[in-house]
Order: sequence, then structure tokens, then C-alpha cells
Amino acid sequence: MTTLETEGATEAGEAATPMSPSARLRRRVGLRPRPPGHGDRRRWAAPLRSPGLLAAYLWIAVILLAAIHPGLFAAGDPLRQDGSQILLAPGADHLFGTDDFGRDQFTRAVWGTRLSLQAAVVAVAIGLVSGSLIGLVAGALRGRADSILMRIIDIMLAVPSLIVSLAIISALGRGTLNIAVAIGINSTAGFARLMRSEVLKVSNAKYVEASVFAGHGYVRRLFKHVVPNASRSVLAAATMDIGTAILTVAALSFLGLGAPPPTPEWGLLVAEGRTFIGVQWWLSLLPGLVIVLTVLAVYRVGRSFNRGRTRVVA
Amino acid sequence: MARYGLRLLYGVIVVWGAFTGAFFLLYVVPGDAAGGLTAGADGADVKQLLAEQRELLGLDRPVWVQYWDALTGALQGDFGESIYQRRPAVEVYFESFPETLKLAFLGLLLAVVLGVTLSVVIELTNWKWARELLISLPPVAVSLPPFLVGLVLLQVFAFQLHWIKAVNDPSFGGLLIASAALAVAGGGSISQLLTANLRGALTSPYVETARNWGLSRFDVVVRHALKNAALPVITSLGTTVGVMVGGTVLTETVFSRLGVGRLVVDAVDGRDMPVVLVAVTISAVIFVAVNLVVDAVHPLLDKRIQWDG
Amino acid sequence: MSSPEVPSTERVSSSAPGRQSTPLLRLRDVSAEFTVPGRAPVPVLDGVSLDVEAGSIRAVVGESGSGKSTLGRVVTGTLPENGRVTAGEVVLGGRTLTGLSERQYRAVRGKEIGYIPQDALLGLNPLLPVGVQAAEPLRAHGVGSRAERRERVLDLFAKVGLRDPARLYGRHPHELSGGMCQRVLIAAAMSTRPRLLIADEPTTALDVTVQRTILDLLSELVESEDLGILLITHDLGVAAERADEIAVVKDGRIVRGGRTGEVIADPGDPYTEDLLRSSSLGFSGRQAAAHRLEYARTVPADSPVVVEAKEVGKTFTSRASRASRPFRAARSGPDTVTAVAGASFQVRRGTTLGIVGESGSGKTTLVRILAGLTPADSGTVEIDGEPVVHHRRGAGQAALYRKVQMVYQDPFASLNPRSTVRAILDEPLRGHRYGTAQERARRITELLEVTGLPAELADRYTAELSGGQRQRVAIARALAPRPDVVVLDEPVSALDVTVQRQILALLDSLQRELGLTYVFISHDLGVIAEVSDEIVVLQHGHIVERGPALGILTEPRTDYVKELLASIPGAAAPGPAAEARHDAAVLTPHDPAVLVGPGRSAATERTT
Repeated sequence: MTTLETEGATEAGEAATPMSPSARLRRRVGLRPRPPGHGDRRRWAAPLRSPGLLAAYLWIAVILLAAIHPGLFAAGDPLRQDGSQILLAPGADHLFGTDDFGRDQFTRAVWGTRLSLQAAVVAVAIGLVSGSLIGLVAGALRGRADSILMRIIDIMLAVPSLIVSLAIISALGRGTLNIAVAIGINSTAGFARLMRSEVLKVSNAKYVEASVFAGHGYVRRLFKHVVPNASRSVLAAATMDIGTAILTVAALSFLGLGAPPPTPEWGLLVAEGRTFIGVQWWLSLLPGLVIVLTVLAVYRVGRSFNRGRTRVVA
Repeated sequence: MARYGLRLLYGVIVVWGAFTGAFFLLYVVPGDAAGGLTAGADGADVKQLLAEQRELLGLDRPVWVQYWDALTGALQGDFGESIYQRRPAVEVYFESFPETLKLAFLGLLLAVVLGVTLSVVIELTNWKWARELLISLPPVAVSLPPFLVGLVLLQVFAFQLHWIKAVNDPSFGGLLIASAALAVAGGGSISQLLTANLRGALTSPYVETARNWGLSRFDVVVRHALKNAALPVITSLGTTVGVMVGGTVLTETVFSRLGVGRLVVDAVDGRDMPVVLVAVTISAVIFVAVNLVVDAVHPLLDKRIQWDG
Repeated sequence: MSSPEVPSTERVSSSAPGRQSTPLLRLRDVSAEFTVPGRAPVPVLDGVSLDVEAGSIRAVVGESGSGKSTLGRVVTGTLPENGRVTAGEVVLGGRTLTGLSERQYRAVRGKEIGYIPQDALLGLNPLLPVGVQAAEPLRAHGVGSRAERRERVLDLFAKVGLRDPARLYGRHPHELSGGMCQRVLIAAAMSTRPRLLIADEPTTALDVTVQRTILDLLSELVESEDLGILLITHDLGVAAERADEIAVVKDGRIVRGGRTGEVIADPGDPYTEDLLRSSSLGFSGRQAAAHRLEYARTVPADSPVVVEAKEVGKTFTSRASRASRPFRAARSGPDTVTAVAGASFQVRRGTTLGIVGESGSGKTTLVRILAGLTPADSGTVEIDGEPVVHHRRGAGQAALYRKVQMVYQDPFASLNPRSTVRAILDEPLRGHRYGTAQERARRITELLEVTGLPAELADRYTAELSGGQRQRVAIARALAPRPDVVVLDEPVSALDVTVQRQILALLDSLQRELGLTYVFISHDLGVIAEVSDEIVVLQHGHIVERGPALGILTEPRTDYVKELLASIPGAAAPGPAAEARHDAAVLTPHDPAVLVGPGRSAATERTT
């Protein structure tokens, strides 16, 4: 089916262009007209064609806005308590209801966005930078350096990440940014592995071998040909990883290892509402829904970057 | 076989590395168990009390001596005494281990069964909108925070239907619901990978051939494509098991079950080093064992592996 | 249809009468289209009509993108989800197939229509034993018990020329050679005794000598089983040699159809003529070599030796190649494979050395040693008197690569997809310190012009170019540092035949103008014959023949080379080149006039 689809595609390209006599001639001499829609324009138009992807982008835009300027969505103070309005059900005044201190849960969810998002992005940035460097060094040097680095990576992968995170957090102390550091250190191994395998794969490509004939040194060839092509899927993975990091940040906060209670943070909101799950279930589940939607949107966008490739989201 | 011996050696190195890493990570952590034990004391004698406790626990010795003791002890199965419970850490750990093992095993089983079934059903569904709906399930499953899934299940099954108890239900039903909470993310990730692989396998030339032999869609998918598509999933099972172990911590918290997960959270918190070391070492052993099994099984499923040497 | 030497025209006239009444397969005005999301549907087939008679072969010839594979899929009812038949009907033995439901079609597929895929090694499930797979059509259509199916498969294995069927039954595809896999697939297709066989490029992935035996087998089956075959191929040579009737497709239309002999004798259509000229039909080694000699005369006989290989050898440990050892035991330990042994040759400035060999012959290894990409275990290679030394990662090789450049087989793989043409051409210019930015820009324009590429292409990404254009870019890149020697590793085998022709012509004119020395590697003796002054024939890492092209092509001394020559598709069929043969006939290898040229000294070196 692959061959057929490509066949259809090339034919699509050719049929869509009106054939001028000169174009016909060029084809006869082996020159094909430029396939239409191959430029950057198409890449940017892609989200518009898929409603799911468009929705994902819109949701991310909303979330980013909420992180930068929470007052836009909820003008109130997330910490303001109101003894007369305890544990109210969701309604027009309180979209997500109120908690046991009478605080507006929606306002708290909005104001919690910044912290949760910040932590996720910092975590991925740490993992991406350190992991890619290790992977690049291992893949580029090969030989002994490679096998030593990879054994270390194996060891890092051998211990469940949650246990490592717990240990790191108890070393650094509680706090959302410390969670981010812990997650970042944890995801280093995954990025290192991915980067290394991409570097090895791309290094085997014929165009990398062919570049030796241009007379440049190894480092230049590495950065000109290998790194740009290898980093493509690493960056796509990093996008996906932001989603995973949001989940892990929330999980660690849920366990009480993040910011202390009055702070608005997504995972913490779910944890605090947990006591009332039997009756006031919305206190936990509505902030949880925000987490789910955000992670879904991030994964959707990540997958669109990663077209044709597969990756496990654990 | 020599190659397998080498793998075994690597496995041992990995376990040793995990043990050593955890030891030094906890060593650099400011404060130690003595601090935790003396937390209630006050006044001038805190310092003295602290020193006494440290001496008692052997924490005043040089780090290398402590490490050597811990390592040689661990090799004999002796990880020292849990600082809080005053009994061997191994004992403490294995007390809660069966609970977690049951949970994780059932969770993994459910994840594999659900994930594989979903992927196959997606490929066999002709109805376009039903198919679209099914395809959207795995990405949703991996986006759900495990603790949230647990809370929803708890709300529905404990508070609405009253099928299980909200706190530490000992029955099989309780275990099943808890492991279902654990299985959602794992099943989602298995199904996501398998669906993508199936799609790839179904466009490969040998499937084209099988189709042209007049095989039914079911035969094409299950008999020809599935096995090929499942190979990478089996390889990734090692990672999935690691994720499961992490997931048990959250599940045990939500369902208030007493397992290794809670034990480890508390141990790290209180710097109960022996218990943490046991947990880390056992986790690493499980990881290594699962991967060794996968390595051993893989050539049986795919004859090319052996051939490539 | 007994032997390929019988010209196809005679077969047609002898088998055709009496069969015209109802054809086995009839396509009437079939049109098909693909829907691409967000665009107008793309027509792929446009009013195609053709028949396949029982007991005959109908070839459908076309280049990539012509719609020929879609034609096969329309018959088997396996169009992808986004494709559909918009008009016309397909009738198999009086039964209309178009419009059948998937369930009804499934009863036809594999039962009445057999199918042979393109790449035999990929066409079999890697995880199932071949015997089990060959019985799948029987299983799918509920024929016989498990034991009976096994019996039938063993019979068929023997019938399609597989030795020791019982042992083979439980083997996995990776343990078999490509030719054996293709035989297994033929056995599977024949197991249900279909009346029609769709063969989609059945031999493209195979070595020429294997290709011939597979085609022989298909011809035999047509004869013995009264089978009709729809043979889809890009190679007019194969079609002309094997088919009773031919249909040439281009852009989804049949531009020329009819009896093979008539089509060949009178193409009557510019595209068919083009294809005919590009094919190896009526190939004559003598003529090709004689043609080449005209050029060779312009090269002085005492032209200096630029490339010299002395006793080059290379062995690899473990991982035996599939072709050389199909039955390697699964558990046996590491093994050594001789890739190249004792290879010696010289290439004079301005001439072309052709290296020909089938897969696993070691030609690629030899060439990589030549270019310093792989270290040799023994022997030396000198270029311009300087020894070629291998460096891991190519450190310090800049001086070598100012003199030697390489063009790879697959222009889709050898050009960085994220670079523009300009960046690709600029890279070697910078690397070899070629002048200022302005001078480099001028050189890039010049290179594009020399390789026949429009100047506006410079700022395109390679992903936007066609295969032919890409290969021109690759050639331009190789020419950038003004090298003496260009190593051409199968430079045309990934391209359509008409494009092949253009690239070969380009290479030829570049050699004349720039006085380049070529080392040209190919699996295709037809191509090698055309471009080479001297030829080296490799088999299993050993040079079996070496010498001036004309000598090897007209008087091969080994059976292997004779077989290679006989396997060139269409060589036996009369073609447009045939008339010209008389001109070449006056030249014999012993004619002293012929040997005046660069090949003289080497003539005595012919081994074996």
C-alpha cells in the first residue's frame, strides 16, 4: 500500500499542475514540476484541516494565556476565604464550586496553571538539554565512551522514576520547582537514549557518508548533517514529554511533595478535594479534567510533529 | 549462550549501580535518620542527643565504611534494620511486597489484555465513526492522571454503587478495581504503540500478499500482522513494568492500601535508608529480570534474532 | 515458451489463433481515482481496456507513477481506502468483478486470481514458516485438511523447482534466498489452481540470472496450466521477451497496445519509442562496445594510470550474506566471509572501468575501499600515485577527496533532505577551499548548467526534486571540487529507464568535456557494456574476468559471464538496435585496429 500511496501522491502533484508545453518537455527530460504544497505554508495550514489538532492548539493558547495572565479568566484572589460559601456546588458564580474554606475552586485552578506549567516546562528543558548532550556524545564517540554512558543510562532506567524522584525531592526539599528538577533528572535517561539512537540512525544515512567527500572535518559534518536531522524526533518527543511531565508534577503534588497547601496547584487541588470525593466529587474531578485536557492537547500537538514515527508514552 | 551470560553480567552491574546510586543520593541528602528520630526533642541537649543517635546508628563513620558495610550486608541479604520499626528492613519490605505484587501483576495483565484487544478491535471495525471513536481512546487513556482515574473509580464503586470499601478493601473486587485504575495508563500506552505498529504492519508487502491470497480481515490482522506488530511491544514491557511499580504508589495512596508504594514514600521522607535501599535494589532486580526474560523470549518469537547473532 | 532464445514474435503467431473468442480477463474502459484530503480527486487510470487470454502473458509496461500497479489492484480488488473505480468493468471468465462486495471478492482473490508481489523477501511474513504461508490460500478458501494442504504444498514446492521441499517447509523466509522466496510465492499463488496470475514486478528485486530462471518458470506454468498472466513491469525488455501482448501505460492511459512483435517493430507512439530506445531490447555487447570504442580512440593510449589496485582483499567476520549462504544454521558461531579477494586492476586517465557483479559479489566493498571508506585487509590502492588510507570518520582525507568523488545509487538517500541544492553544492566548495563567496556562487551556477539543471533550482530543497533531478544534483556535487576520478556506485539503477538514459548521456558528455576518469559499478551488464572501456566481472568476491569491454562482451571466457550476457532481458529479442549490428560485425576482438586504445596492455591480463 505504501507504494501505491506514494504513486497516488506524485500523480496528485503532477495532475494538479496544469501542463504547459514547456512543463511537458521538462518532464520528458526527467525534470518534474515542483510538487505543490510542499513548502512551509502547508505545514502551518495543517492544524486548520484537522479539527482535533485545531482544538488542541486553541486549548494550549488558552492555558498559556491563563499562565501568563490569570486575572483575565478569574479576577478574584485564589486564597480569599469566605466562611459563608463553603463547599458549594458548581454554578454560575462558582464554575467549579467552592472548597471547605469557601475559596472559589475555578479561580484556584486558573491561578494554579502557571506553577504547574512552569514546572513541566522546566522539567522537560532539564531532561532535554542534559539527555541530548549525553546521547549526542555517546552516539558521536561510540566505542568505549558509548558503552560506559549507556550502562549508566541503563542504571538510571532500572530504578522506577517515582522512587528516584522521591529521593531527589527529599534531598532538595519540597516544592514545585524541586519536583521539576527531579523529573528533569529522571527524564534525562530517556532523552539520552532517544538522541543516541537517532544519532546512530542518521549517521548511517548515505547523505552523511557522502558528506565526507566535501572535505570537512567530523565535527562540522556532525553538526551540519547529523544533529539537525536527529533532533527532529527528539524535539517531537520533548513536546510529548511536556504532557507526561504535567502528569508527573501533578502526581507528586498529589502525594504532597510539591508546594505547601494554600498554594494553588493542579495536583494539589485534586489532592485537597479528595477528602470530599464521596459527595463533593467536583472539587477533585473538575481540576483533574483541566489536567486531562491539557495533557491531551499537548500529546495531540506532539503527535502532529511526530508524523510517521511512534513512541511510547508511559 | 555466551551472549546471555554477558547480559546477566550487565544485569548485575545495573543492580549494583542502582544500589550505589541510591546510597549516595541519600547520603548527600541534608539531615539523616537521627534528625528524624530526635525531631521531638528540644532544648540544649538536642545536639548531644543527635550525636548519640548518630553513633548508635553508625552514621558517624566515614561514608566509605558505611557504604562498604551496606554493600557487603546487602550481598548477604542483610540491609540492616529499619530505623523506625527496629526490625530488619528486608522483613519490613517483604511484609508489604505481596500486596503490591498482586496489584502490579493484575494491573499489568489487565493492561496487556485491554490494550491488545482494543488495538485489534480498532483494526477490525469497519464502521467509520465507531473506529474513529475507538482510535481516540488510547491517547485519552495515557492522558489521564492515574490518581484521578483512581478517584473516579473510588467515587463510582465505593460511594455510588457501594461495591467496595473506600479504605483498604481486602476483597478481590477491591483489588480488581485498584488494579483497573493502574491498568488504564499502561493499557493506553500498550494500545497506542500496538495500534501504530499494526498500522505499519498492515501496509507491509507481506500483508498485501496475504490479502491477495483471499484471507479474511481477521486472519490478516490476527494471524499475519499482530505478531509482527507485537514484537516491539514485548520489548517495551520492561519499561511498562517500571511504570507500573511507580503507579502503585499513587494507586495505594488513593485506595488507602498498605503496600510497598506507601512504605517507600514514608521511608524516603524519614530517610529510613535501609528500607529505601531494599526498595531500590528489588526494583532494579525486577527490571533486570523482566528484561532478561524478554531477551530470552524474543528469539523464540522471532527467528531472525538468533540468526543475526 | 520453452526457452527464452525463441523470439517472442514466433510464439505469438503460433499460440494466438483459436483463442480470440472469450478472453480470460477483460477490462473495459476502466477508470480509477484517488481522493486526497482537501484536494480534487486524482485520476490514476483513464479508460483502460485490455484483455488477457488464457495460456498467454499480457505485459503492462510503464514507469513509476504510470498507474500500472493500480491496474493490478483494480483486478484484485485491493485498491487502498482512498482509491475507487469510477467507470468501466472488469470481467473474469464471464463474471463481472467490479461492484462485488469485499466478502464476494475474497472468494475470488487467491482462488481464481493468483498474485505474485514485487519483492519476494518482503512479500513473505518474516515470522511464519514458508510452508505454512504457501498453504494460506488453501486455508483461506477452506480447501482440504491440514495434512492435505501440506501434501499439496510439498508437491508444489517440487514443481516450482525448490529442492528438498520437506526440509524447506519449516524454514523461515530469512533463511531463503530471494529467488527461493519468489518460488515459494509462486507455489502459494498456484496452490488453488487459479486461472489468472497477477505478477507485479515479480523479478525486479532479483539478480539478473535469478530473474531469468523465475521468468522461465512463469513461462512454463503458462504452457502447462493454461494460465493467463498479467505481468506488470517497468522493463520493456522483460515484456518483449516474455509476453504475447503488450500494453504500454503512461499517465493512466494505454498509449500503445497489441501483439508484442507488432509493438516492437512499429511503436507508432513517441513514448513507446522512447521506452524502446531506453530498454536493453536487442542488446548487443559488440555494438555497445564498438560504440564506446569511438570515444576510446580519442584517449591517448599512453594516458597515465590514475587508479591502481593491487591484490586488494577484505573479509568480514560473522553475519553471512543471505545470498551466499541461504542455509546457514541458526546457532552456528561467528563466521568469516570473503567480500573481496586479490583484486587488482588499473584505470587510465579519461577512461571508464566498469565493475559488474550480482548482489553479494563484493563490488560495493571494493568500491568503498577504493574511496577510502572501508579499510582493506590486504593489498593497496593508489590514486595518482598516492596510497589511499582509511581513516575512521574521514579525518585528513580532504586531499584524497579533492581527487576522488563519488555518486551514490539512491539519490533520495544520498542528499540531505533538509538542505537546499545551493547548500549541497556549496559544501564541497567550502570544504576544499574554493575561492571567495562570489567565486563559489559562480561555480554553483556553472555546475547547475553543466548538469542540465535550471538555475532556479538552486534554492529548492532536495525533497522537492524528482529522482532524475536529484541524481543530477549528486553529480554536480561530485564535480564541484574538479576531481580526476568519479566513482559511480550504481548511479542509474534507482531511476526510471528513460531517466536512466538521460543520466548516462550526461555522464558520457561530462567525461568527454572534462576528461574524467570513471569507476562505474553496476549489477546491469547492459549498462556496463555501454559505458565501459574495460570491464571487471566479480563473483563472490573474486574477479572472474577482466579486460577490454569488447573482448568480454563478444567472447566471454567463463560460463558465468556467458550466463550474465544471456540474462540481459530482451537481449535475445530483436530490437531497434539490431539493424546496427551489421556495422559492428566488422569489428572483431582480434582486429588490431580495435585494440589501439587504453585497453591494449590490459588485454593480456584477462584472468581465467
